Amino acid sequence: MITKVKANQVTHRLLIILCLIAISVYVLSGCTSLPSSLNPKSNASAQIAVLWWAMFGLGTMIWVGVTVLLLMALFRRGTSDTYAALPDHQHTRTVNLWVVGGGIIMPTLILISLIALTVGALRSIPSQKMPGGLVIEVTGHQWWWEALYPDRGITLKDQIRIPVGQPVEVRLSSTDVIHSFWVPELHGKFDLVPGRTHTFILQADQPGEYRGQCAEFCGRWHARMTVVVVVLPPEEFITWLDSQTQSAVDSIP
Amino acid sequence: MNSETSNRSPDKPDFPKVDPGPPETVETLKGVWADPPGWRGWVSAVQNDTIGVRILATAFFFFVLGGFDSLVIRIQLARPENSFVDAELYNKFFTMHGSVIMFLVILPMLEGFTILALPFLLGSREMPFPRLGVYSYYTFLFGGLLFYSSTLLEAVPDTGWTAYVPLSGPEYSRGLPLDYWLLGLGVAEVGAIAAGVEIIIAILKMRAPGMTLSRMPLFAWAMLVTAFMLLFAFTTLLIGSLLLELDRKHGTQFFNPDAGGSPILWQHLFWIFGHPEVYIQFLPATGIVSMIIPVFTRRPIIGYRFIAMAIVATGFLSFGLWAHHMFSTGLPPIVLTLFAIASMMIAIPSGVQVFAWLATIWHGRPVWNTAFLFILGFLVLFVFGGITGVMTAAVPFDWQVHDSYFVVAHFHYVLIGGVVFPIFAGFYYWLPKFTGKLLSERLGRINFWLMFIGFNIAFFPMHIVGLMGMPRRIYTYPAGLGWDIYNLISTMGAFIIFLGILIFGVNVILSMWRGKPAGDNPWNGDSLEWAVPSPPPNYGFAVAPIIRSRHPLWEQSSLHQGEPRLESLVHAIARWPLQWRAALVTGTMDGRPEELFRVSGPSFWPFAASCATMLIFIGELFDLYWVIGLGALGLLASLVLWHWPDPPTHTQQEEEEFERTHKISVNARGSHAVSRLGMWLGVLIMAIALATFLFSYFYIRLENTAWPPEGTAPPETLLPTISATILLASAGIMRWAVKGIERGNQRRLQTGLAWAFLLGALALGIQIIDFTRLGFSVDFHAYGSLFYILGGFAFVVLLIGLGMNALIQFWAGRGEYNSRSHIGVENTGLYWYAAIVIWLLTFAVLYGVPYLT
Repeated sequence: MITKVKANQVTHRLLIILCLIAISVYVLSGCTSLPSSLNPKSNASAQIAVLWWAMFGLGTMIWVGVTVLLLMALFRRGTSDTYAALPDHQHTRTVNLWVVGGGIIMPTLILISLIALTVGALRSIPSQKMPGGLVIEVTGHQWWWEALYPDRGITLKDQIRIPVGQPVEVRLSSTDVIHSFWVPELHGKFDLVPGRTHTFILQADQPGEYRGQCAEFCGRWHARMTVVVVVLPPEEFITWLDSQTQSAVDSIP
Repeated sequence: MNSETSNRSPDKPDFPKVDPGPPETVETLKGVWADPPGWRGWVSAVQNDTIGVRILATAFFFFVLGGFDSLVIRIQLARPENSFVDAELYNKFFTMHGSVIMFLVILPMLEGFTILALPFLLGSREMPFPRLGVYSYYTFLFGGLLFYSSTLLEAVPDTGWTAYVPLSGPEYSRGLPLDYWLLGLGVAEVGAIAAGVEIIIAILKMRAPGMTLSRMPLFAWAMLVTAFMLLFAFTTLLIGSLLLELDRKHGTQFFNPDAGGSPILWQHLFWIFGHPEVYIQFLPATGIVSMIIPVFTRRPIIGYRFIAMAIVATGFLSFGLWAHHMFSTGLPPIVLTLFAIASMMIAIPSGVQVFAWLATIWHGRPVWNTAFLFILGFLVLFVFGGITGVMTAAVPFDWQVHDSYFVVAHFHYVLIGGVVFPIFAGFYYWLPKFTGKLLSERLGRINFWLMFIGFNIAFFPMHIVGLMGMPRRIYTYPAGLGWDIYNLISTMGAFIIFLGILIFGVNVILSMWRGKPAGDNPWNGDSLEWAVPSPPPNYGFAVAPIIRSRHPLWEQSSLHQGEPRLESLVHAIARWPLQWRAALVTGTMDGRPEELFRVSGPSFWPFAASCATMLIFIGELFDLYWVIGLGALGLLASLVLWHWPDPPTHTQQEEEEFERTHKISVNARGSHAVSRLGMWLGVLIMAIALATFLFSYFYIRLENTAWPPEGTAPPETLLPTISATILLASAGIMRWAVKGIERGNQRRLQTGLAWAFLLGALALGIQIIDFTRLGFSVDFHAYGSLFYILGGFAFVVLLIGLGMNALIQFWAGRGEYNSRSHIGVENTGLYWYAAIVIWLLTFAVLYGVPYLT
């Protein structure tokens, strides 16, 4: 074991690099064309994705750093004096370097920057709607989504339609249990709580159809409670809006 | 750091041994400490070794059951649109998996291990309340069995281990399943609290002479903080569960938004328990790591003080994070930011521990055996999981990954990597001590690598599939989303883990059958348990060790050398008493001997009390009120009989002589210090319960615009003021009575107690009369529910006080108390004052807040 220290160190470092490559391949493969929170189609989820990649970079460095330190600690030549405590002055130096430096100061610095990143991302996610903008009231039921356009009296089932590039005020509530509205490509999730209304601003930057799913366990068919956000170019959206009568209820098979 | 023995190497291990005691007394000691034989012995045994092993074995049994649940989950999710189980069954399986592991496995394993091993680590013979340990075990066992009996009635709960309302409430989860969840687990929760009380007292008051707080093993620090956290967290959950059960079956409206209640209140109450719960599991694991790393790097732990402080800091901080489980529930931005910052900050004490361990490894020389491998696995996996945890503290990111498989991956990395791996390390490290047989290193390595590799294969892909949008708790998913391959890989990993655990089981069985003898100290360990034989005698230490260092076996040349006074004391205890189970109480800070006391011996009553507790919960479960009554009476009777003063020991003369010679008190009727601390902890539990009720009150108050609700007048305050005044007077009288017996005045004691009782009963009666005239019901609105239930809590607390008062009067009449020995009176007095404070606070809020609009 002791004679193979150097070889072990090199081997282990190579293994780590290989693992990193594998991890990257894994992760990158997830964000090609498949629905994903890392495939953002809105400013909100784009901000979150940026936050994620920053944390991913930081986190990988920390984990790799700690693991390398651990391997070095394991395979280096230790002192021959076993079972004895370090002499006081050496103990103090070691504690200052490792415990205070590595255990307190380093995490504090990293966390301060992480807090700054977090607050920055929070503030950059749109939360102000334009007065007079589109409002949709989404009500959760076991196990379907009801989307009401109060200004027009249109009700959709398991679907909402919005124009691209415009902030839409979505008001969430529930008639029965707690649900959660989650369309990863467009935004984080918000809960639909009976007796309350939660409001968030939804704005998609590309037309398309985006899949979402209830993300708070709501009973037997929770897994089947999906929703589609159909994002249309503005003219198409207006055309659709006008073509709906008061009693039309759309449903996706 | 002054060590008398440097350059000690494993080639010539000459660690000091514990003095086995004079040969003529050893057999008698064994007899006194033995469990009674036969089935009677089975239910009345209280000795910590027995109870600890039982808890561990039962917890492991539930671990296997909970693990099977997870295999069913993984088989179902291996392919899209799979039909291995249907939606309804799947929902039950994931609920059972989470609930069983979180309530019936990890904490009981750690508590059971503590009850078994802590006295050895601390150099003591027993836990302070062995009967409480028995009660804790049987409530755990019965609670778990009650919980599982739901399968027999096809009433398995199915709303996840978090049981959010309104889904788990009366409207959407009718019938037995959720009641099973609340009540079955409730029984087990009571047991956990009982064990917590015991552990606190053991660590604070029952250490070896000379073991100051700063010489305590780090595992003891971890368990001390954990046990306090337990009291706070589990009491909160019990109250929350009570409120939900009341909503479900008795018409209250705590969580009903249509009647002034709030579904979010449940989440707050649950997570105020739930987040500390994971640190309750993690901190003991860090204690195990801090015990094992020094031994297998042959270097005393570096940064002991920092680790101890980090453990305490983690304990406190963990109570300030809970809302990070609720970032999607519409909390105000300032609340989000505060909880995000707090959730990140807790990484700092964890970082302190990790770097202290790294430093120790750096300066040491590793011993490559299985326990150490599990520790290394822990380090790598826990840091990873901790990092993803800090990521989820970033609120916007959490909005994406909350309730997705990313967070499932995160918490399995910190719970399996951060808790289960150290538990396995603990098994490989300590099983040889208690069975006397070594485990196979070869099988151990296979076990480790299967678990480590299998774990990563199972859980790493979940990060990816969570980021791709896969939510939790779904029984299936469609093809074409790209989730298929990751789920399949995860399932394969789960089976590899299962294989690893199977190998562990084989290893244990083979070891018990024909393992090599372990010897006293197979690992060249530094802590006290390695100085006794393997397996150790049932009385632990005949001659108590005298501690002069943090690492007694590495730094002391002898375990019984010290001040002459201490030396003569520990040798004297080995010779006397031999008629009853004696243990030492030492000072909280300085470890100086204070008391030699009689630790309780075998008794049937804790088992009976456990059965009675079960009856109460079963009665509530099946709406059989006579069963509840029966159980309550049974509990009362069991508690009284449990605490019935032991018959006189007929060693009065020897006791007095011992006291004169060694200058510490001898209490053959039970320890005063232990009893007093137990009462204080009981008061603390009541205070936590009150705080939970008041939190609920003010939360609901703030959710309502009108308080009292429209159409209800604020309550009249005349009668409550009268009853409060009467009660205050009774406090003065109680104090007068207690002071009386301190001076040996029996008449004053009995008169005072009687008057205090009368006044207390009068106050209770007046307040109950006021409650019958309130003009609103318990079920019309959350306001009414809160009024009656909080008031009811104060009533019950005072009623218990009246009961204690009556009991003390009974025993005072039989001459039990004198000026020297009256701990029962002191404790009743303390309880009385606490009950009055609770009463005053409760009714001040109930009658005052409606006027504060």
